Amino acid sequence: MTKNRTLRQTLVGYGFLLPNIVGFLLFTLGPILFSFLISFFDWNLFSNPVFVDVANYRTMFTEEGSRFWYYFGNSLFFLVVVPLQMTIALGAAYLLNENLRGTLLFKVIFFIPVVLSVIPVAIIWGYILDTENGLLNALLASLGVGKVAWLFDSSWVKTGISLMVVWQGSAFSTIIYYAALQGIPDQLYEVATLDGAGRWKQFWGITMPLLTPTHFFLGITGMIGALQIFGPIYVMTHGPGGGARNLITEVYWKGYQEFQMGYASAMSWVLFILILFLSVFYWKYLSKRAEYA
Amino acid sequence: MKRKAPTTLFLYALLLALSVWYVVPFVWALVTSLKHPGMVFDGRWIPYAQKRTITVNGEERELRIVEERGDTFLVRMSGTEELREVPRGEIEHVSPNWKNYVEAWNIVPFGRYFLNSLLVSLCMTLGQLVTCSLGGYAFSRLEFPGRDAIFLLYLATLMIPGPVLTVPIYLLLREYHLLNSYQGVILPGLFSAYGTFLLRQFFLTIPRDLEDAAQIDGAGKFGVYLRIILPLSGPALAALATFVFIGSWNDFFWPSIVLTDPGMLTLPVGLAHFNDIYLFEYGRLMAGSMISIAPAILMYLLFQRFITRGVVMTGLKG
Repeated sequence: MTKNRTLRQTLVGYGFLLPNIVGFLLFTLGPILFSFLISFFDWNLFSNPVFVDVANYRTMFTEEGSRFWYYFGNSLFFLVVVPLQMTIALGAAYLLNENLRGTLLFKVIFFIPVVLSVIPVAIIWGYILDTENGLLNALLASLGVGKVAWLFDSSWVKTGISLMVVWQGSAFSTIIYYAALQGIPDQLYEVATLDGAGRWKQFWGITMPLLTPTHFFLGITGMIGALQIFGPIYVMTHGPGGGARNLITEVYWKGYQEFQMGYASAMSWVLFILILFLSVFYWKYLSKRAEYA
Repeated sequence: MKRKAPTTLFLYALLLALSVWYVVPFVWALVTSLKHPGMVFDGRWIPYAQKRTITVNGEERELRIVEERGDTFLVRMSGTEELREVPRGEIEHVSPNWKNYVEAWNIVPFGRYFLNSLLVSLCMTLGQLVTCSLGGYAFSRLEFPGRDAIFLLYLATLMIPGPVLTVPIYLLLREYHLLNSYQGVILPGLFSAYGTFLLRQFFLTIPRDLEDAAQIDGAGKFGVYLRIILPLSGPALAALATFVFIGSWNDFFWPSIVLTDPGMLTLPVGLAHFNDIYLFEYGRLMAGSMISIAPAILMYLLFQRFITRGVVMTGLKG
């Protein structure tokens, strides 16, 4: 009797789970395991895979020709967008939360980039950053600063791309910060006002500490996003990425242009380890700060 | 909190400054997209056109601009050696050039790309609503051996970045000759561990009493799922739908790997190709970009609150 019931329950449970678990096995768990496995193989799609032990990883880390550390450094550079977009977003959300007249319009303006595809945005910014006719260089010229080849000078291209990423990425953070700010009860501010605390003091004493979970969430998601910037680099440099090449453009290049599947997989695993490491690091850092705040 | 007038003014100044930062790229792209060839780089915020003819003594005559001199033009009439200095206003007039849009639309099959994107995004959205809600229901309401272990496994994969998955999925699709097909783009997007997790969490907040009542009335598990759980999960399902739709509509990495046939490209991939072909032809490029973002902006204006709520609930990341 009970055994029958358990069997029935099991069947019903897995019945509901079936379409889901098939997707999970085929497109998530399977690929994860397979990708780890082939990262130890040399496989260029046109020949049989050959087991090469850790050679892919060794080549990546130690051979100069792999330029891995250069791409790694570029990936890390793009992390600058995280604090920038969070700061702009916090400012924007704070202003919206003041509920001044016209806030509805400002909300539309600040939020809209979140629904835009990164490709047209990158094309538009590619024009803004154009060396000869770009808006940014025109602005700089009016300030007496010389022309910068934002997208062609390898020492500036990452900065140029980061500008565009911050412009678009801040919209997401603004929405999240705004929702969080709306959740802070007004009474807290009222009490603080009675105690004679001014706007500035309230911001650092009440708003910022209460936003800690939001900072954490946006820090992590922003970091994961920043380490996976691909579309803007692809569009703004017209191809492999020039001086902005990062780990993702390299995974793309090695995997889908040169078909070195083993090497590309190995590199994607290094990227994952990097993300994991930075997340744990950031989490430890924030939880420590929260304790002493 | 009461505000003093100077404070309000200051806050408005900041709001305005931020608005400029967000709006200028759009306006600049729009203006550029309406400029005439040869005027694209004039640096002005209004699209002007230059006249090809001028009326002299009641007679229409062709002109050629010899030199631009600040507020005036030095022009030469056709058939004469006569040079004239004419005020800028007589030669130039405000005139949007819609031709960039027509040309962009004719060069690139935007209509086709739009339909491709729509097909891909709708399939993924519907697919995930079905698979994730079924799975979320199983994880939140049904009891069966291995449930929690499997759920933990799902959670463990949430941190894995997309590019780790793409090489094996690419190989899998290649094995079954699904590269360069709509199925190839859509299939991996019919499921997500994240969506399953999201809906499970929401289903957990629905009171169990309702189901018990329904079950006493003879409804099976599927009946409960269909008639109790789903109708009560409107906001969560809507949020997931928004998340999946926007995500797939804007996705670039995966479709750019799978799709190669020019007729099958999605909007972002097609636009990226357009950008590579019409290098530095900014009038057309901006027109193409405006065409491709117009549906998204329209959608946003129509479903503003809905989308914003969806973003907050799912932690959408573009």
